[in-house]
Amino acid sequence: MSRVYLYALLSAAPSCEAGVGVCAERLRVVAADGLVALVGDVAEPPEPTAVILRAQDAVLRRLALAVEAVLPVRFGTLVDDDTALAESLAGRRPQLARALGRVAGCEQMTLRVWGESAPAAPVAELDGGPGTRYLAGRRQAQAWARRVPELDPVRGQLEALVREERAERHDRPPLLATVQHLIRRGTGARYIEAIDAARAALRPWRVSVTGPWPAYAFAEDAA
Amino acid sequence: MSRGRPPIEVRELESLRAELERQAGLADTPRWNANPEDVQRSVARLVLTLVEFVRQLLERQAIRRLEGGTLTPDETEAVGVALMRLEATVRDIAGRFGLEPDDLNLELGPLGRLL
Repeated sequence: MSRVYLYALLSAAPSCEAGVGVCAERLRVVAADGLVALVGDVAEPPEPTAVILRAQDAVLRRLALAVEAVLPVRFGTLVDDDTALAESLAGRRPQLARALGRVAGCEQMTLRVWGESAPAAPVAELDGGPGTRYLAGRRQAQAWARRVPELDPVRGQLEALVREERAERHDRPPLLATVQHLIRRGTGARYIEAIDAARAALRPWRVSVTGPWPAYAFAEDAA
Repeated sequence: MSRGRPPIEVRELESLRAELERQAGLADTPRWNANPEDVQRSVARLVLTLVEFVRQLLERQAIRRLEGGTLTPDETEAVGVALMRLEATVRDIAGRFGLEPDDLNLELGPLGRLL
């Protein structure tokens, strides 16, 4: 018995053939409550191998050529049938519609920041008793976990290109941070040029760029 | 590759792989292990993960209230001390079972990781 494998939510049904999926199954679209889902019917959940992951990425890239917004769904998402899919989407329509609007006409660039040591997190003088200082320290740590000051020298050049950002500090040298940027489709070359032009100013940190990708990091609501 | 763009070094790729493996490990849902040799540790991991989950939720709520100015100084101190002691207790018990803080992190499915 086959199950429904969910690839992505789309802003509209593609005008072209959806093609085949990672299990060579014919892809189809399911319209439910104003949302459009790209699905395939599979007997088994796909294995998370490099080949299959690349195949799923290729499906999303192909669809991005045909529709304005592609909201990737977490790899391996299966539901029993179209009815279960519709029920799953029905309760989340507002946030899914917002997420589709966020990624419409956009793609993702990924920056990784490398270095031998992370910049020191700012340490503010904390007043009060031990409990107050503990809570204030945790607040500072949470804020720091989303900050990547290593990129400050290039932020001015990226400002016109970047619509949204997701940042995560790792602070496990040489990998210090990963930053995902949502940019307009077709502006990836300008984005890379801006990074390349700023490499001297970014030292001692090194930055690698990959992309453009489907907007994987901006699809939390569709996971 | 454009001129001036440094190649990614092997050790950088290894660092990235290690981070991905670490995050993939965090995605493993803690389960009760019926192996008699490991049963105490696996139960402790499961229980402590739930306690840590609740503790972190409370901490985030406290920080939100702190930022919103809805905690008095006395309340801030009391909540901070309670959270601090709870964290120390969880770490202490985890240490007795050979568990690291990362072992108690949670993958929340569609919501992502807690931390």
